[in-house]
Amino acid sequence: MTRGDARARYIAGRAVHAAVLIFFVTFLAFPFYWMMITAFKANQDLYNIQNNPYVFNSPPTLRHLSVLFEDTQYMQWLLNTGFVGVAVVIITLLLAVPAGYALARMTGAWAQTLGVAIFLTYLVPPTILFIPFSRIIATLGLQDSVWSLILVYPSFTVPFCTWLLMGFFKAIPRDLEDAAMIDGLSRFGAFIKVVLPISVAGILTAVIFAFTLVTQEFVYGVTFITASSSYTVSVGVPTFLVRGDVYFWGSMMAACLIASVPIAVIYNFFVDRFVAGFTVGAIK
Amino acid sequence: MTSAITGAIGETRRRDRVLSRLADNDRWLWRAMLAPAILYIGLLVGFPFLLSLYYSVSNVTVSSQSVQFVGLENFQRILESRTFWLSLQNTIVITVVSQFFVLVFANILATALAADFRGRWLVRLLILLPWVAPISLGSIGWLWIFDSIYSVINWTARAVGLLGPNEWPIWLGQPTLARASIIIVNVWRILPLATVIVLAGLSSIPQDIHDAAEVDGAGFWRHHFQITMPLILPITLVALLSASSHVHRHDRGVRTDARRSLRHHTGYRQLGVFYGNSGWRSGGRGRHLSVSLSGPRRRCDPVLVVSPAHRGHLT
Repeated sequence: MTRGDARARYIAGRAVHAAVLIFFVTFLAFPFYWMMITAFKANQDLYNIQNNPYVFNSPPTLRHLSVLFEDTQYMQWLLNTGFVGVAVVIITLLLAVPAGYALARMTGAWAQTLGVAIFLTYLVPPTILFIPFSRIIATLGLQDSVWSLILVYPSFTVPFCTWLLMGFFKAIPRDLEDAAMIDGLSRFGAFIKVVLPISVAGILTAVIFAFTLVTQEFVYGVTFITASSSYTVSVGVPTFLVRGDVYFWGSMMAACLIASVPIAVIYNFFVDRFVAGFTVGAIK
Repeated sequence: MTSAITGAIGETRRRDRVLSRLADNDRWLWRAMLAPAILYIGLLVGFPFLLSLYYSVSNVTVSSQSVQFVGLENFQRILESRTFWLSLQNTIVITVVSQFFVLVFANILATALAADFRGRWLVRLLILLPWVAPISLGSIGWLWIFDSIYSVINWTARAVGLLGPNEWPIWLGQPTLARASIIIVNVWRILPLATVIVLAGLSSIPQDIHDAAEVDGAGFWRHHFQITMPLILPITLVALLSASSHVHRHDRGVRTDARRSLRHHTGYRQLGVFYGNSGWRSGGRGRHLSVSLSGPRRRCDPVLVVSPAHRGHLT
């Protein structure tokens, strides 16, 4: 192979690499670009088929944003989502961290079976559970309250996070706790003082995952809650900004962007740890 | 010297004794640590699940409080419904096709992302967006893209000359296009997670193996198909498994929106769309449930079949 060939191959490789990235970034991120441009377009521009939709043909407007914040309870929905998310994350950690650790350290065949069984409960779809749930919620008198969501959401975050954390704890060498126990700590003491501090990455992963699962949830939110002041974002926006056949496109796109982008940025900071947490159980 | 060795042996013995004593106490500790989680799951998944099994053989409805046993009547009605079978068929086709594209795309994209290049963090951020956006909102974005009058896809296709003056596909209104649209949104939604997982698999392959392949003169394709692919196969399966469980959990938003658009195209509903229109709307909860039970159970089958075989990778 001559040097010229090698150079040509190198350039071709770079070009293919760039083309692949451009294709996928366009496919995956285009809807968000589209949301952004729609959110700031004036209606007469938005609904004129002759206009080039990629650019602003009339000056950008903040009208859609003011509809979102003044005519709907969007701010309240954001707060509800945040509140439910934080409460569910706390419950999930209290239940899943000890369970994941116990599953990781227990010996015997049934420990593994139990781990798989817990994970399988995550696969039970909400479509099966939401009707019995709505009766239970009614019996408890929690309908229309965000507490109904706080009660129900751990039913899918706990199994998932237990499984995730189990993988994490398995990757921590047992010798570490054995050493701590010889130094006089109990097993539980070793768990609290030795294992937990070095598992921050794994626990953070579980937190982020649980929080995202909560912001995504739709079926339970739409079933249990009919009072608009208790809606979460993922239920409130499609419910209130679609009136009959009229879609408030600009406001909806703004709502989507505001709810998605901050989480995406936070995610990006943690994605390496997240990937490590997600795969540590899978690879090892 | 000798005393040092006996000292070490004594230390080991003492260590063994301590460990075996603690191991006895551990059993109670494990039970105490597991109990809260298992109790919660038992009460909030197990109990409602049993309740739903019972509801599926009863005539429970939204409006009335009375519940009577009706046997397999609900199931029979569903199995006789033409719409159910069409929905089931659509669900299977859409799931299989989406997963195929996800598998291929995730491998390509992860390979491209594994290389170091400038602006990698930005590319990664943009690629992760669909995964973190609430799905009910993301699918509204797509609904706008697929809009019957203002579809940006059609505008662009016409601008570059792909569409003639009288061609204007209605994405969510024409059966085949509607299926294709749902597949596109599914792939868009799952691809980021699958890519991240495959990427983790790629980066877990020791550099030695790549170096060895390089030295032995393996080209790009050979390297990729004979070395990298077999090594990341297990993790790819994990990616598919978790991705598909995500679809099952989160695609309700898409379905709900699709329902609005597809309301008049009975034959092309997916299962989710179907529940929405039959049981729930007409107020027959029992009927709705039997669909859920025969529907999603089936949809979950591939997942349940895959998991025991790859238990080693999962746990």
